[in-house]
Amino acid sequence: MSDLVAVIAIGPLVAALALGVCSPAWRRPLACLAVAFLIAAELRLGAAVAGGAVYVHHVGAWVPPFGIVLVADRLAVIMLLLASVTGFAVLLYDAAAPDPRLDDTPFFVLFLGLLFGLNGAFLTGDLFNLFVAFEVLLIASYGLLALAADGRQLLAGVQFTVLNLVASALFLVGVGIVYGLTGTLNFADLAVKVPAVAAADAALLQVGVLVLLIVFAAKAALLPLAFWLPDAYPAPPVPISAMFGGIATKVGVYALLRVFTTAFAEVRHPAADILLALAVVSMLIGVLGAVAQTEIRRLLSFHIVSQIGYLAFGVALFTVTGVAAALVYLVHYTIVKCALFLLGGLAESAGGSRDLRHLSGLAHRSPVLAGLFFVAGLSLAGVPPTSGFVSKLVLASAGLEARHYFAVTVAFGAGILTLFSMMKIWTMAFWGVPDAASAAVPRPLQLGAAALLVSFSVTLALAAEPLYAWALATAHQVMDVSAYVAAVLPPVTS
Amino acid sequence: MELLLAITIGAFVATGSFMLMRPRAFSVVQGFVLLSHGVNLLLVSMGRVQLASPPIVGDAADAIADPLAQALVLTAIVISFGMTAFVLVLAYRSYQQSGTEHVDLGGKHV
Repeated sequence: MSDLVAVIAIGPLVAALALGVCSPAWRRPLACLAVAFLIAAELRLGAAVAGGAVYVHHVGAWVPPFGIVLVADRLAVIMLLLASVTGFAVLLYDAAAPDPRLDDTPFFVLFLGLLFGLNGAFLTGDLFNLFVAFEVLLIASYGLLALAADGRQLLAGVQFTVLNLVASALFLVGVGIVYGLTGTLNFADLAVKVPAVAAADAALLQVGVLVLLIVFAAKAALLPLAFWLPDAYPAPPVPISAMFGGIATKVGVYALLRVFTTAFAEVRHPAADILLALAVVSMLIGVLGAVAQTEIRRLLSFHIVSQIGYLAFGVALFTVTGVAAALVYLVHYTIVKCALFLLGGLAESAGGSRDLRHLSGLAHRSPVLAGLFFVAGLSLAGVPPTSGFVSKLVLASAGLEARHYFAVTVAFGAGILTLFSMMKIWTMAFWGVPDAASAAVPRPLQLGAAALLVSFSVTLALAAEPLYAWALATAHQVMDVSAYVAAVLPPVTS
Repeated sequence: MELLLAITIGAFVATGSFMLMRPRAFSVVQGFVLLSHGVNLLLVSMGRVQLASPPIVGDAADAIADPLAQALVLTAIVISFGMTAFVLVLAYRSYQQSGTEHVDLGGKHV
């Protein structure tokens, strides 16, 4: 089973290389096949870790703390599955109506490269390989962002690139400080060695941990480090921005969760408070930014900032219920956001404009599109009985349990504003008299790709009880450092 | 030696940060290069500053240099080198297509 971990980690890279050399006509079906294979492998791994087992692959048979380890626990596997499922839906959407701007570009190679970076980040067991996986992920993102871009979009790409490069440089500063003080970068080994750091070095270690917090907050697009996002994410073609909106920023949230629960559980105290403050600011300012927008995908991009705030709120509680709520939210939100980006892209092409003020009456042209957007929009806003309601409910109850009344109030207010902005899209684009100008009608398979994601979201709402039970079990596993350490570090035999 | 290294790192990071704040794309790239040099030096110094000591534990050596920090910095250098090349190309393409080298979008959407 631990070999399967290695297959999942390295599979997308092999697929990307194969796609790079095969004939362009074969790239689309082969990419779909590769992602379907990944999903199958991850489901198999998911069944194996469901009982609470942790599978560790020692790369090159080097034993930790010296070698590189790939660790698959329940949290890692669910992140892997989310990445692959959104990736598959995006590929399906693209296959239904190939974008002419993406022909003759290395789109599929970069797409698989993105998955390689994501899988690497979710599976890695040490801080430096997390950095390397981030870089792989970002190289692929930069490439995808620059595909089919005009001058201004490229400029947005330059901003995105530079900000992420600075964040990467800071990541190395954090890695350097932590390594200098503890002599290790392995998460499990850090969990053992961080409490043993000399009192004189504790302040410096705290600085290193806070630098890492800044880095992950920038990668996750938490305010005030999120200004690159609303320009960068809507710029590329729909499949790319749906993939970014769906999963790319979640890597930052995953890194926050993994690193601050496992490696730095002992020294996370001020970091948790700062994270909570950033989360509250992001929830509110992100949604206020969204309300002011008049372009569908730009509005949705501002919502990412707001929703990442919700996720960070759950993570920042660092209680079992808080982490469980964040996980439920993560699953719901990744799927719904990806669906909304796909549907928003369809609405743009069906109406022939990006601007809401030029769109009208799309519900007449494509009732299915309107219906799907309605369900996904309500789900994002958290109206019962959707998966958004369930996830906001568990988040609010976890927040109340931890006595963060102010943050819960802000979350509630941001939810109302989210509903308002979704209604804005709905009334402006879908309601009213249809435009006379004829434009593209969404293809059934494109709608099918989005419908797949929306149906997942509905299923999550129906299966709220088992979902929460699963999230609680995962949160227990995440918060239990000793089990992780025991799984990764071999028992001492001296 | 430590003092010299610290001053060098500080100078690299300070100059790099200043250049990153400049509005022109090429200055920003230069800033990134300086910043990453500073960070790489910091990373290598985290393996402790040891002169003329072998990177492995031998019988003759009483002090050893940490090889892991050097392996880390090698990876970091390769990555920052590739990134610099990419961001230069990206900046040049956007300069060609938009006719401006300013990285500020001027409040306008893309």
